[in-house]
Amino acid sequence: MNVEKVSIDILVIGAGGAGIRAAIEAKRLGVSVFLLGKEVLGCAHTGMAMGGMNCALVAPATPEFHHQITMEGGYFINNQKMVKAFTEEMPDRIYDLEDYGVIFDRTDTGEFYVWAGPKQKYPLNVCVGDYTGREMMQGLVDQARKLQIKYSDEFFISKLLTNDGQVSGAVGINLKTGEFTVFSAKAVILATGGAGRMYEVTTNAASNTGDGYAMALDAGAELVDMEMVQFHPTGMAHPQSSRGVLVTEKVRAHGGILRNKKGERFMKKYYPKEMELAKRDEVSRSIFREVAQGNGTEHNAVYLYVDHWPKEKILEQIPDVYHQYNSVGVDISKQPMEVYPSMHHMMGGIRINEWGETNVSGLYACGEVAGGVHGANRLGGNSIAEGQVFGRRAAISASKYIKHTRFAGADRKQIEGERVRFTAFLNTQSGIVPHEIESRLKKIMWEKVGIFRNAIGLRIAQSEVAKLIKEAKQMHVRAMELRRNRDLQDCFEIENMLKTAQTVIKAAILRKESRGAHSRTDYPELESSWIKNIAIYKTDGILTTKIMEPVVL
Amino acid sequence: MNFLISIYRSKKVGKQVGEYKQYRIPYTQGMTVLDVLMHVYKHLDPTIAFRYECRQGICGTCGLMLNGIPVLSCSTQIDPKVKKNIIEPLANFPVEKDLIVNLKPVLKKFMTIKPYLEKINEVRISKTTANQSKPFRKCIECGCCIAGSKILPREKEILDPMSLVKIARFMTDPRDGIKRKTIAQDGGVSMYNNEETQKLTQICPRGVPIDQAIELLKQK
Repeated sequence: MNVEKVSIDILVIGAGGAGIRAAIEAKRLGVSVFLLGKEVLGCAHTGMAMGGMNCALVAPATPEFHHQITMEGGYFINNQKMVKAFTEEMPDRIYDLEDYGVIFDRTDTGEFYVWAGPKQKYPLNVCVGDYTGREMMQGLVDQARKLQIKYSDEFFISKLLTNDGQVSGAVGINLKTGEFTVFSAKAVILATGGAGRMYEVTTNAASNTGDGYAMALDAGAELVDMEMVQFHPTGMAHPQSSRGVLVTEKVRAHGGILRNKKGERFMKKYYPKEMELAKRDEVSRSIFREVAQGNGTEHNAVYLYVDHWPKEKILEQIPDVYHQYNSVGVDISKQPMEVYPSMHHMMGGIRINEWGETNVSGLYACGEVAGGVHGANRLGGNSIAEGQVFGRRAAISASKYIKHTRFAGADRKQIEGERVRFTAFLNTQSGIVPHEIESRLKKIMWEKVGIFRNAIGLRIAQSEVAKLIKEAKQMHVRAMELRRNRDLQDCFEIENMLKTAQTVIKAAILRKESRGAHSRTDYPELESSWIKNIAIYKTDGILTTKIMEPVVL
Repeated sequence: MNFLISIYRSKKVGKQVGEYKQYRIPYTQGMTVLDVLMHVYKHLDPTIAFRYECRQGICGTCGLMLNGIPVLSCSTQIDPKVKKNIIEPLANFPVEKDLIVNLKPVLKKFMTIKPYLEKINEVRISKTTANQSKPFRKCIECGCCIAGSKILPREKEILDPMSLVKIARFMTDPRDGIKRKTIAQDGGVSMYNNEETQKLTQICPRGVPIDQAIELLKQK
């Protein structure tokens, strides 16, 4: 087997919004940087964000207001230093994006068009139609091309290399050629996104397999808030191939109405004041209850109506939602949409400080793979936004760090170990087909670690996942050709999803209360004693938890 | 109900030789082309290679030809009543493996047009200026327009429609300082006739008015 070697100061793993922003900043600071993405450059999950990004740009909104509602939205377990950095710097990051080419929507008087999501007494969401993430990705990719940032796309990183507790690089496979490649780096910025694919119903792209959580854990990093998994209230419910696909909050924020099959505006029962614009965790639970009580449609969903809007408003504000229903035969200007909650976002992730630093020297994280800023529930519009702030910050930190750091040198044993893992999957002649493990994991996570949880279900999930981890050792790659071998990639990704699932379940068992996205039917109350964060890390290979006080200013 | 589908498969990776293999697929209501490919991968032939990511029609990675027409596989439903459905890789791109095309030659050419904002003017953006470039900013670089072009195979040197849309996008941005129209005209924009540009506009999965972009660039 060929081994290719590349040496670089900063390796950025993940080419979504946060990763590209990090690479741009590193390049601007004059250090050598290499960007790796699992998918074709520009096609990362960031591009699927629809509604917008929060930023205090238009009065009377202020960064303090943005800060305050982010904390309230997160049920006060957010890292406040991160929230402060995020909300204060956000306006500058919007101006950066416009310099990269993005043009956010304007009003007739030339102000930024902003709309109000949940909790936004003063509107914060800047947007480009209902495809804000895609336009943002386009701007970032344009800028990366302009700066001639070195990158390799369709490249899968499977392990971080460490030497004496310090990051020394990473290894992985070039999916195009199947070549095993070793990267030596002084610093690594992880920006690998979330883990939606471990759930049966998700808004996420296929790439979101928790690679960063798993690799960071193995490298000695701590994860935080992993029990906090966001379910977006409105994913497409039907047909099967569209199940879970995002229907933006912008629909409800602009007057979309939720009704059950009897035509009742059921949000009245649950949140009579906020109605459709209650927080995401609240609307998701309401829809769940409504369907569980037998008030759902034939596809176990509820209706979302915009048929009272003028057609021009639909086409201007939510053209992509219109299109995505149209392509499955539903004209939303005349018929309701069928929607149901869909796993959307990991609030938790690698524990970083407000400068993107982890507890491992040389390792930085930003974007969805990092945790802390969103607390127990993320406000819509805060994710693609914060990635811009912490992508830049991680690059600034890493650039400083590499100035006084030498290459740690690759640990041959680690490289050899990873190569053995790689060839073992290929050489297993018979066994379990990878996607079978995946579908069983998805079912467990959706049914037992979903919108509502309880001790019994979580314990079952824990033992089922443990079983799957054992069975996964018998995964067998059916195709022999090294190039574009989907089974081989699946094997690695499934192991990452299993490791991530373990951390979510372990933290969910430990948090004996209901807070934000974490709803325990056996502990339904919010407990003031639980204004705490749960951190997870490995000691001698064993998952260990610790309960920590939230970071305050 | 089952239906038959023919899928292009490479005989040798990197070589432009292939064959069509037939698969029998159980139909489910609302089935997309991507669902068909996932079924083949999971149950019939794990060696099949294709790209996909978002299932939302927005990432632009899953373009291919369905019965000779370029489409995004994730947002195109399959009609099982068609006698012989054929899935092929995007036309006008070299094939890398099965349905995966090599994007390099197109990107190399794309870079020659400076596909980024060269900001020289500080302009306060109004709704009118924002809206001028907005239709062209919807391009997701999926390559469907390139695959649908009948002129490109004959005129190999000219700029492809994706590049022309990008040029129009910056030409309509008052902040940009590059002589965009000259690049387009030197790049052979005049070779595109109305029949072609209207067809390309129909093909575009994002509804980008490719005809308007090209019309704008042709003007003296």
